[in-house]
Amino acid sequence: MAELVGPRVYSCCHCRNHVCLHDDIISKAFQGRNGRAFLFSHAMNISMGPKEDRQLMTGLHTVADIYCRDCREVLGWKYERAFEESQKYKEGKFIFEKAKIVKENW
Amino acid sequence: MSEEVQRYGGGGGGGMAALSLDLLGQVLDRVREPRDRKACRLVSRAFARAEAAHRRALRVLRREPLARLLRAFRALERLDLSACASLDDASLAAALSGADLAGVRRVCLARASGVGWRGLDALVAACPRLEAVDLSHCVGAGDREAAALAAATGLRELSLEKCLGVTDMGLAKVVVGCPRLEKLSLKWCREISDIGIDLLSKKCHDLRSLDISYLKVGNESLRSISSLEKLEELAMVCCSCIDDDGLELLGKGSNSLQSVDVSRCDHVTSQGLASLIDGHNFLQKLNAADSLHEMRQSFLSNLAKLKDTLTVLRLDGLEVASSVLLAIGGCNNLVEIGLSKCNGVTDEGISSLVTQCSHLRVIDLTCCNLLTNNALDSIAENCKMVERLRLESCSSISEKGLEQIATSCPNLKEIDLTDCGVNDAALRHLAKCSELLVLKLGLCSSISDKGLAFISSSCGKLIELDLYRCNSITDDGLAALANGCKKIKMLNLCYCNKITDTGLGHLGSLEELTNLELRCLVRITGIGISSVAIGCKNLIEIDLKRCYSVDDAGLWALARYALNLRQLTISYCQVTGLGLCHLLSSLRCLQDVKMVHLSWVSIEGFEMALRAACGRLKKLKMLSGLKSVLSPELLQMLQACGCRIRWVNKPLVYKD
Repeated sequence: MAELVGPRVYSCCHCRNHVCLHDDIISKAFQGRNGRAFLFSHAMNISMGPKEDRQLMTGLHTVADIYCRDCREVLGWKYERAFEESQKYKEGKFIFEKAKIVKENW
Repeated sequence: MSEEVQRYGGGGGGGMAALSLDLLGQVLDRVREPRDRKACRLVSRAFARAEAAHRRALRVLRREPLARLLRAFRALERLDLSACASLDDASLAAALSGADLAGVRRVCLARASGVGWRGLDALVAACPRLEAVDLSHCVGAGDREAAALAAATGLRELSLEKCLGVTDMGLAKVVVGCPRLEKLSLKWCREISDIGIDLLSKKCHDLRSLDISYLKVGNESLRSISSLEKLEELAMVCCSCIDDDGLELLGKGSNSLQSVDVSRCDHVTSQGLASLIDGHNFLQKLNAADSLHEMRQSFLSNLAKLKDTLTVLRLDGLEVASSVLLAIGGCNNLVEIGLSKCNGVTDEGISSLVTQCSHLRVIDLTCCNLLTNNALDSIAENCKMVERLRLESCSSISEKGLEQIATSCPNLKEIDLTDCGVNDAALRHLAKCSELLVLKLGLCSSISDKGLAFISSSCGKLIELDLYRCNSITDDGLAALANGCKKIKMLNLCYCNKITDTGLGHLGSLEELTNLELRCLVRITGIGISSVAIGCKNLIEIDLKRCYSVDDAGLWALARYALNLRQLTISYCQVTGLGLCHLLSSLRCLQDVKMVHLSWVSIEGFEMALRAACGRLKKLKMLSGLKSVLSPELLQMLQACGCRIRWVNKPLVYKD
C-alpha cells in the first residue's frame, strides 16, 4: 500500500516555510508573548537570535528567540537553560506561538 | 405518538385493523429521533413491519447482520456503510446479491478500506438508480475502483477525496461513464494532473461543484475549468501551482461561480482575486485564508462590486489595517467573517466593520489579541443575530464584554473562549444564552464548579463542552452538569485532575454522551470507567491517555458495556496483555486504538490482542520499538485488512 501523505506539518504564518511537526508537540499548555503557545521537541528552517536571560512565568530561563529562516518573522523561542530543577525538561526545546504557525497539509 | 400506542396497547386487534399499514408507516415517517423510531419498532410486530417498509435510511455498524438488514428494508434510499466494521468485498457482494435495492440512491463508503473494485462492481450492479457515492478516505482505492464506479451512468455526486491511487486514467473512465456528474471531489488525489482536469471539463458540462484541493494542478486546469458554464462552487485549497494568472483565466470564464476557496494557495495574491471578482460578480463565498500576504487597493475596490451578494469572507492570517475592515464593511450582507490570526485587528477596526454589517452570524476573531471589551460591545450593539463567536486567545476580554453579548445576542449558539482567562462571573452572564450548543472554555483555570452550576441551570441544549485544563473543576461541577445539561454529546475534561470516580459516576447519567476526553485524570480508576461505560450507552470515543490509575478493571468494563465504542486511547495506562486482549476481542465496533507506552503489556500480549481484532482495526498508534519485535505476518495481515499503523518515537515521561 502506498505511503500516505507524510507527517502533519506546521508552517510560518507569514511565508509558509515548514517549521515544525505536529508529532513533535510535547505540550499545548504554554503561554507565549501574546497568547497560547506549544512546546515542540524539534524545529526546522529557523534561525536563532542571541541568548538572553528572561524572567518567564515559570522562573528565570536563558532563551533565544527563533525566527523563520526565510522571512525573519519571530515565531517563538528556544529554551537554552532553565535554572530551576523542575523546569530542566524544557532545555533544548522550542516554543512556537499558536498565532504564528498554521497547519500546512492537514 | 403515545396516544396511538395507548389505543392499540390493550389486547384485541380491533383498533389496529382500522389503521392500514401504509397510514401507520406515514405516521412513523414523521418520527425523527432515531431513539424514538427504535421505541416504535419495539411496540408490536405491525409497528415493526410498518417501520421497516417505510425506512429510507440505514446505517450499519457491523458486517454480520448486513445481508439480513438489506433484505428487510425495501424502501431504502440512503445506505451508510462507513462505520461497518470489517466490511470487505466478499461480504458486501454477498449481502447485496439477495436484496432488492432498486430505490437506493446514495451510498456512503467513507473509510471503508476493506472495500475494493469487486465490492463496487457488485454495488453498482445492485443499485441501478445510484446517484451519489462517497468513497472518501479509502486510501487504497485507485483506477480500478474508479472504473467500477464509472459503470453507474446516473451518478451525480462522487467523492474520491483521499483515494490516493486514482490517476488521470481512472478519472477519465469516471468522466466518460458518468457525464451527468454535478458534484465531484478529487481532494488529495495527487496523481491527477492538468490533463485529467481538462477531460473532466470537456465531458461533464453539468458540473456544479468541484474540489481540486491539494492537487499539483496548475493554471492550465483553471483555463479548462473556466469553460464549465454551470460551475458554482470551486475549492482549490493549498494548490501551490496556481497563481494570479490562473485566477485571471478563471475570471474570463462564464459568470457562474458563487463560492471560491483559495485558502493556503501561497502564490495567489489579492491582485489575482481582484481579477477573479471582475469576472464573477455574483460571488457569495470567498475563502482566502492563509494565502494572502497583503491587501491591495484593487482587491478592496472590486470587493465593493460584491456588496449585495457576498455573504462569507475568510481572510485568516492576513495583516489588516482598520481601513481594510472599513472597506470590507461595505459588503452589508456579510453573514460570516473570518479574521483568525490576523495581525492588526483593533477595536476600532471591528467597530467600523460591524456597524455596517448587522447581519453577521459567524465571527471568527481567534488570536486577535488586541481586542478588548469595546469590540464585544460593538458586536453586541450591532450584530444581534450572531450565532457563532470565536474568541480564542483574545486575552483582554472579560466578563463585562461577555455580559453585553449575552444580553443582546439571544441567538448565540457557539462561543469559543479558549485561553481567554474568563471566570465564573462570565459564565453567570453566558447562562442567559439558553440556545447555547457549544461552549469552549479550555485553559480558563479560574472557572470553578460555581461557573458550571450557572451554565447547567439554564443551558439545557448544550451539546459540546470543552473544559481542557480547567483544573479547578471538581466532582461537584460534574454533578451539576449531569443534572442540567442532559443533551451533552462531547465533553473534554483533560487535565482536570481533581476529578475522581465519583465525578465519573455523575457522568453516567448523560445518555447522549458520545465523545469523552479524560487525559491525565490521575485519580480515576476502573470504577469510574465502569459507571461511564454502563450509563453512556452511546459512547463512541474515549481518551484515557495518562490515566495512570486505570488498569485492566477499566478495560474489562469497557469490553463488557461500551459496545458501541469505535475509538480508544489508552497510552500510558496500567493495563496488561490480558486486559488488552479481552478488550480487543470483545468490542466489535472498535476500529481506532492508540496504545503508546503500555509498559505492562508483553510482546505476546500485543500479538494476541492484535490478532484477535485484526479484521476490524483501521488505525493503530504504537511505539516504534514494537515494529521490529512484532511478527511480520501480523503486520502484513493488519495491512492487508486495511489497517494503518502510525509508529511514534516518544520518550517515556510521566506528567501530572
